[in-house]
Amino acid sequence: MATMDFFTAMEVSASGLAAERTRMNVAASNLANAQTTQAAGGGPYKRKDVVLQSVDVPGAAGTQFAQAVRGVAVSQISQDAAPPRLEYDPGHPQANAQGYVAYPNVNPVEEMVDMITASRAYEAGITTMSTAVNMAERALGIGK
Amino acid sequence: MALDLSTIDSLEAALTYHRERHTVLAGNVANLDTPGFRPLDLARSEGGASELATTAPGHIASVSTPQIVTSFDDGGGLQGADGNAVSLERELAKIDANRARYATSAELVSRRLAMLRYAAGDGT
Amino acid sequence: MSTSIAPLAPIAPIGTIEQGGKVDGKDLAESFSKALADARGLEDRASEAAQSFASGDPSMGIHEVVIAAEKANIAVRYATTLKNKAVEAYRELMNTQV
Repeated sequence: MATMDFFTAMEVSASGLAAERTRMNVAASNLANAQTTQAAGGGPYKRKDVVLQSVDVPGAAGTQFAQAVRGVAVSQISQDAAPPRLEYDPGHPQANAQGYVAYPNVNPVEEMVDMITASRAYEAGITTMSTAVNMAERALGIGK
Repeated sequence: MALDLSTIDSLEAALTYHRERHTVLAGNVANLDTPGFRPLDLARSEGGASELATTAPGHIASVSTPQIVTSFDDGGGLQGADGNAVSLERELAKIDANRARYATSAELVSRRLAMLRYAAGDGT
Repeated sequence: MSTSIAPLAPIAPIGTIEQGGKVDGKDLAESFSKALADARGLEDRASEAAQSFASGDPSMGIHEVVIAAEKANIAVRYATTLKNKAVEAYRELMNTQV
């Protein structure tokens, strides 16, 4: 029966770190562009969303519990389809005929929450990875 | 005279179990924010000790029958709006307890090896 | 859910001495042969384990490799102890004044 070594556990943790890093970057990008009325391609910046999906881990392939070993990956970074936020400001250079300016559909509070949860998950991933390293070190010390 | 190294086997099986369990629990932490994800865990049942047929009167060796390990959904009732049922605190607590058991088993192996080394003599 | 640590199996007691000086149905020469064979087997397993670990086989874990090496080590020690006892016994026999 094939089993997995610690490297597989670290692959799993690493996938989590990568995914949470992406979430943090996207939240940061949304926050930075919360007031961008003219994005590349015209129109206000469109909020981005990270879609996560659990995935197989190569190191676990063929082992007894392959299906219980779940890594994670970003399946896509989608654009939020919600309409832009309109603000009445007829003097603004980007105001339309009715005097409204279209602002990005970004809610800074939500983005901050996403940043914080991603950061917490990232920390947890680091802790988990160092636990694996710690266990591996104990194994190395057997018989010494 | 018999040197029975198989006394380490059940400890080695325990070490393997704890390592695999860590891998599964690490997956729960990695999927902390994955929509619809339910945490998994590995449970182990002890095979129990059985007596081997004796080759000579008075000589008894006991051996554990192989442990049975199964994976199970440990999500419980609580879940978020997106269906994710992972509780970070719970997973981290399990991971740490599992680490301690791995360390203990490793220590027990070391001690048993030391006893066996002694029984094997120093080559004189 | 709690997992318990497996109860430890006791180290097998040294056998009783039978008729003809055999222990566990074997005399010293037979014990030595068996110990040597065991040592060879364990040494082979230890090298295979080290090989597959070094080549990055994900199913060969650190504790497996280390334990295999330790077992082989102990088995060789044991075989050496028996060999030396056999040699000692032979010498004593040869030095016995008849």
